[in-house]
Amino acid sequence: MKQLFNETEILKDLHSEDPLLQRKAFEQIVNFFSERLYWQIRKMVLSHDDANDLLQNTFIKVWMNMELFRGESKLSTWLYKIAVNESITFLNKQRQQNNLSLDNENVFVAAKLEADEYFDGDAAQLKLQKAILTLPEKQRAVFNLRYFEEMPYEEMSEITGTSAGALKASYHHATKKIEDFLNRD
Amino acid sequence: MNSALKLEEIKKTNPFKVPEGYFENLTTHILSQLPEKNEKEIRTPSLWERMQPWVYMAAMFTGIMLMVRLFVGSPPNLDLNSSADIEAFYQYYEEQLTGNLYHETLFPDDTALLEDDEY
Repeated sequence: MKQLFNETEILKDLHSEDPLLQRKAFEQIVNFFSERLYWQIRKMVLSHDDANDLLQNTFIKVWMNMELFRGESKLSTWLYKIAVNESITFLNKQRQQNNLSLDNENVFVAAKLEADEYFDGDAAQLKLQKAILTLPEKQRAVFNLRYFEEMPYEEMSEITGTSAGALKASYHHATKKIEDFLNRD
Repeated sequence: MNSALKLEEIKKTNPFKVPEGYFENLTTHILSQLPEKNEKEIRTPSLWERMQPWVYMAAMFTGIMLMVRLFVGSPPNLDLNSSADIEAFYQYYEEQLTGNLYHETLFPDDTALLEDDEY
């Protein structure tokens, strides 16, 4: 059971001079957001081990840069933004390291997913994941945030740095591509 | 596999799993991996890092000076030890004296400034 989360109080402690208060506030942030961020990252990269590493990196970045967060946006938006950027950077790097095109990457990652002991979706869910893999990284993030998290476009706009109108169009195209994929054998 | 699968027909339940007890220990695990933040703040710059701007500035001025020398040329050499310069100096001196004698001839009533001089 997660404890009550008072963002104003936590941010005050996070920006205090006292290292103990800072650490305590950070612990509350990790405790409150880690699971949600984990799932966001996991849906992007699919593998548990990669998601675990990226979640760790995300929180290290948050810890090292927390004085830069001045509360202009919601804390959750800032955290999502870092997590999404980490995931996109990772996917790009993975593709470059394996010298794969987007199409080849789909085959590579889909094969990994089928063999993954931490995936227990049915055939239709597996096909949906394969369809999502056909999307470029940023569009994949847009689709996941909207379809699974049902996040409002305004919040997505702050996370991705893209206008709400462009996101609506991107989500529409993503859904169309996925449906085309699902209709194939 | 149904080839005419619709997006709405697919269960929205989470198909992914995590290892047993993963989320229970997640916060502790993440906190244990955090780097020490103060290291960055306490670190003082080395002597070289502090001197760097001054060294760069000195190098820049030296460079500018060399460029000026190269394109504008050296300043005239005023060293009177060279024989050519001594020669030029005496020539100038002689001309001045000649000028004074000429002045004396034209204006004999003027005080003869050079009457005691030997030349």
